[in-house]
Amino acid sequence: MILRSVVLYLCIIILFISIVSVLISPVFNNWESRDVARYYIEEGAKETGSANLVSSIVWDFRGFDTLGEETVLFTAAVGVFTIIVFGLKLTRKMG
Amino acid sequence: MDVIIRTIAKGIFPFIILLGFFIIFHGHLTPGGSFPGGAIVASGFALIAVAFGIKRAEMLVREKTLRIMEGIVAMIIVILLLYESFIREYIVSEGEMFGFWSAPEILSLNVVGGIMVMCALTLIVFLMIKE
Repeated sequence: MILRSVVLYLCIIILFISIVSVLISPVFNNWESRDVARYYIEEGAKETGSANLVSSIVWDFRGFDTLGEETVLFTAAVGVFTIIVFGLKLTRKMG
Repeated sequence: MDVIIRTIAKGIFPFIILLGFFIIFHGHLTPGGSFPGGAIVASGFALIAVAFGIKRAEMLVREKTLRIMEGIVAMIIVILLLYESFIREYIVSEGEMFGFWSAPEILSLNVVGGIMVMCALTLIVFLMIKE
């Protein structure tokens, strides 16, 4: 039983150390290799024509992300509508 | 509500709407965009609904109209964004840089998204006040 817990703790420590070492390794901290971010800044205004870089990223490069955001908003409105219109009718009918 | 609140709301309402639509339409040039602009327009409608009551606010825009408009606008935004994400390669921009027509795709998406945010927030506020 003691051996089992010791092995478990060792596994957790090794996992933590490996994750941290991967995160601080120079492979992921090489700023020269971040081509996508560099491309957004250098070519974004030229390619989309929008002077506001935030707008060009939100609506153009990350357009699919914004689609999900709009879906969240639409779901919130539909949820409030459903709760207020149908839910109150249902509780009145039950009680 | 109070007569002071009603008078100020009546005077300030057009300017709130104007500011919101300015932020929506200049989303590709100035800070802001569809989300802040739509929230400002919705706050204008919420101000009218709080100051004058929901009946006077529904004279401006009815709740059923908001519902229908939100559905239509959501469909348009899905089609536009899927087109923009997967089909179109890159924009050939027509106007000069920093001009109003410099990014027609982003302008249209900003307008559609702003109308959708406005409809959603106004609908939520109206429904909450009604019940």
